[in-house]
Amino acid sequence: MKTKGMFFSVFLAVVFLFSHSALAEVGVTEDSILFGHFAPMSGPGAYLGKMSVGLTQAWMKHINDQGGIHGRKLSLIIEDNKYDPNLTKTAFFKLMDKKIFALINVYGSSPCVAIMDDVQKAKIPVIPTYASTHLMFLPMKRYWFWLAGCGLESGVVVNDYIYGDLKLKDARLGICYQDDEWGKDGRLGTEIGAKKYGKKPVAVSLKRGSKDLTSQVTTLMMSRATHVYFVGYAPDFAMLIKTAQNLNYRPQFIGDYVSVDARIADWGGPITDGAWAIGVTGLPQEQGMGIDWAKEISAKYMPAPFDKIFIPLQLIIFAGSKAAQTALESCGRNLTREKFVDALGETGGLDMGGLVGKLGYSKTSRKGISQYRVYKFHYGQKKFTMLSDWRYPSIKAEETR
Amino acid sequence: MDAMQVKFLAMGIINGFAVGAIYALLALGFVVIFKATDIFNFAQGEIMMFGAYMAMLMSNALVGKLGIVAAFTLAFLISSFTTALLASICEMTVVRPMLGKPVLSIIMITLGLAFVLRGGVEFIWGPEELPFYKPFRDAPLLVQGVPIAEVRLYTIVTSLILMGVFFLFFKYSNKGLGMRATAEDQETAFLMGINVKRIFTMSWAIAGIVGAVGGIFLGSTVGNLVPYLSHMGLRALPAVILGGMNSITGAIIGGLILGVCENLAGTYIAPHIGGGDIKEITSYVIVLVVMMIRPHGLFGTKEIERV
Amino acid sequence: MAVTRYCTRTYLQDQRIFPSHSAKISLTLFVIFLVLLPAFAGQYLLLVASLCGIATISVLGLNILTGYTGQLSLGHAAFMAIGGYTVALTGEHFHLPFELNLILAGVVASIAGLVVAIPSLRLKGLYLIITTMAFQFIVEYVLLHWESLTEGERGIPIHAYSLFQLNLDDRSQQFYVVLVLAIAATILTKNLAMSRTGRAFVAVRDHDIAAEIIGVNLAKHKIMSFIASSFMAGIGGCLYAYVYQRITPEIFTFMVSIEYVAMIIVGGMGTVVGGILGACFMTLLPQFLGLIFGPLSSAYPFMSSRLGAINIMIYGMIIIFFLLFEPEGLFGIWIRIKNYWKPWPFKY
Repeated sequence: MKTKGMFFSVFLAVVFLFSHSALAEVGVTEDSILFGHFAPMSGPGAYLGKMSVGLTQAWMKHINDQGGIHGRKLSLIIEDNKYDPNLTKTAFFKLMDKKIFALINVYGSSPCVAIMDDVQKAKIPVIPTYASTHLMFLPMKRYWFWLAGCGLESGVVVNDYIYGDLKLKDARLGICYQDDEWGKDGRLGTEIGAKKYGKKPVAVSLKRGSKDLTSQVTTLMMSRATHVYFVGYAPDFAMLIKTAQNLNYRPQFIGDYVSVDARIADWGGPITDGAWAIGVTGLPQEQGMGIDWAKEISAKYMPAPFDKIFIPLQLIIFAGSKAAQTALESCGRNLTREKFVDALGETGGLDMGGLVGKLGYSKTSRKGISQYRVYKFHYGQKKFTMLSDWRYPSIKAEETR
Repeated sequence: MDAMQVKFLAMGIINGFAVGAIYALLALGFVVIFKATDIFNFAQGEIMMFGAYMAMLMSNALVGKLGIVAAFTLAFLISSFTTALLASICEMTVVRPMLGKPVLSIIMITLGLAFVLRGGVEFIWGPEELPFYKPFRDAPLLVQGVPIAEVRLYTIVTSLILMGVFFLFFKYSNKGLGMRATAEDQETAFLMGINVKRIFTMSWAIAGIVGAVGGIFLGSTVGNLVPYLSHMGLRALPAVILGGMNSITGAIIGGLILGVCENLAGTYIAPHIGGGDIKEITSYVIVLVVMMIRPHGLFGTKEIERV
Repeated sequence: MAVTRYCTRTYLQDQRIFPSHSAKISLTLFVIFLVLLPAFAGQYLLLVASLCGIATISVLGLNILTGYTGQLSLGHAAFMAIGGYTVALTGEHFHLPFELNLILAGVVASIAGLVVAIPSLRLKGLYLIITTMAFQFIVEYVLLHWESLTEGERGIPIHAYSLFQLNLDDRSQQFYVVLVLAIAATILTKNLAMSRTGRAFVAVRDHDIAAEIIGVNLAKHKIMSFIASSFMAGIGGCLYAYVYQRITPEIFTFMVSIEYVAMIIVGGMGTVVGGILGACFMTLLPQFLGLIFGPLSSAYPFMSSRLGAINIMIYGMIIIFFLLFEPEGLFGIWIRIKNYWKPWPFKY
């Protein structure tokens, strides 16, 4: 009888365990929610990787110190993907086998594209991805929440500002773009935007990591471009400006959203003074509920130099975290992935307090950012100031398809 | 062709020479090692990068005390010396045991060395862009109305001087003759009383110096340093092949030719093929064609093989 | 080359695929283990196992070319890319079934191999390496920029169509397909290596001029080995595409080519078992390093780029270590362990 009783109690325990796990969502326990994250830890992207991991953890610490979300603490597993699509693939399945609830703050267009279909199949929300390609939100993918500057729309904004706002009828626009998805989006957008004003820009491309832009600058000079829009990373933007100076060529340079980075002063020297940039984030020196929140968390949990806000991606990461936080809070205690995704879809129009423009998620759209600003760089003060406040591009990315 | 177009063409050629000069310096490093030791060093790009980082470290440390020109000059010398030291250490510890092994093993060990050096630099200095201070003025000089940056002019001049020095060194100096003899036949050279080991170390040290010079000028041109500056090493490989593996003049001329071709292809061909930086592969395409016609490069000599 | 067989008295013994009964038994047990793997492995483990299998197929191809024939190549990934893209184009445009695609991928890749081989007949050593490198870079460039064909960086999604009721969306089925093909590739390579052609390959490697004098047709054998090698690379690329379900140019970069050469060096050049060991070792290495460095970088996020740098250094150090201290690779270690136990407990 005694053994029978024991068997029975074991049976009950097993039933209890299983019934319990059947109720809760994968990655969610009584007191924790498990998030996954992948980032490169070496190579060209490692700086951003270090930062995204640090900021995500800082945000989680901040929440956990306040008691978590509905009593659940947040935790994070990290995989190194070396910015390599192959390793991203294995990293994703590893994270999935470790039973993560969602992926958070991931970036890189080729890594994200590599697992695009798998995420959809596995129904794991990604909040958000900073991959700079329109493939992430066009056509809409239910589980991918995109939050970055869209090259296509930035290109349109450049034209809107030059030909629309400033009415520079004689301006000739050139574009120098990094030859990946992001840069090609930028080229497409610039061409579409220019067409609206009856212009045709000249386009040159560079490979990421290229250390010589002489021929690109020469081509732009030959076409007598007066405004040169650059889609690529900030150090390369600085190098472009410098190469042009070396060849006695001084058009108005316009950077992309990642070029809103005061360090271009160090890389490019005084010649960077007066460069414009199309931004999607606020500026570090601004006030606002969101920016103050970001500064507070950075100062409290991050070591130098990341205890201060100085590059746009920091603000974007905080914006993504904020959206995730809002959605998690509105889900309540009974958290499931589907509910989380629906809640994220309802965050549209949320005021980000100056981090980025109005959040654009809705039931039918995963495009988080659609507002842009135009900035101007001041070398002396090493900061950007605003030329034109939040605006929508005159042609939206969705309309181009 | 109007005057403007001529000016642009001249600009393309002169600036192409400047890029080519850096290729030539890299190629020189490859050839010096190959000439003396029959080893093809895939880590030359990394050695160059290390030189640039060393120079940055020293000039940042010294610039406050000495002023930019003196600091840069001192940094230049210290960096050349430490890079030569590093290259010699690499040779003595890793490469020397590989003497006489198959080509693939030697290439792979230098590739392994390249990974270790790149990882090491990334470990010490981190992966992000670091500004590189230099004494050259940013405003361009005008040569017959054709603008060229001061740093590029210095690059061309320095590489030409180095080329002359090494040409004379290999042709007339005792050590240079020893190196050539070693390259020809290690055993015979050894029997003739040449210290073969020292020759090997010396060739790596020279490659280190040349690499450091190339790295410093590349860093000055770009304005910032990142560990993947070393990819330039792979871009310079075709220069070596084009010139011929065992010709110093060939390496220099090969580098200059490829620099100019790349720049002109980037200026005149790239806009017509839509998208894509044709410069990335121009040199490889050229080298493929040359290899079909002259398998030993433009200036290389054919080896006679015996069974 | 390591002495792998002892006490062979007849040619017949030397020509056997399995050197001994124990080898046969242990291999069978190993295959049974692999067949049962999907029963207890998760998605991640199956994916990694499939990648090992694919690397095995491809590296055996490279081993034929580099290990046996001595033709150096730093462009192996380019042949894989050609195979992979063939599948993407035929599969997505003509909806051909997987089995046909597989063969087509191999054939197209071997045609590319032929194209590279013919002009390379005159080239040796370094010059050949640079030629294959040039091929690699040009293929990479074309795949990235011929957008009307390859869709550029975003790549082409692969959907599985099948003849024999295989469900290639399923990881365990994928794994079985890879396993069967890897075994087939192993047997084929082993057979090829032990045939007249295989011995001719080795003769070309050891001294090409001497080989020509004793009557080996140099051109024919060099071309044959290029074709065989690129065929297997094509098959590998095709499987990659199916396992990945999307093909992008960044899957087959120059780094991957280096990795394949590293595989044959780490495994042991010119041996079939060495190729397999090397392929598995180099595929599992980043995963193992991830096991150590993943938690470390979670714990110390601001050290993460330092840890990443150490990762790169370890990678290089492994290559250097094997070349300096174990030129026969893992295969050499394996043989030494085996020979140590063979006369045990006696010393010899």
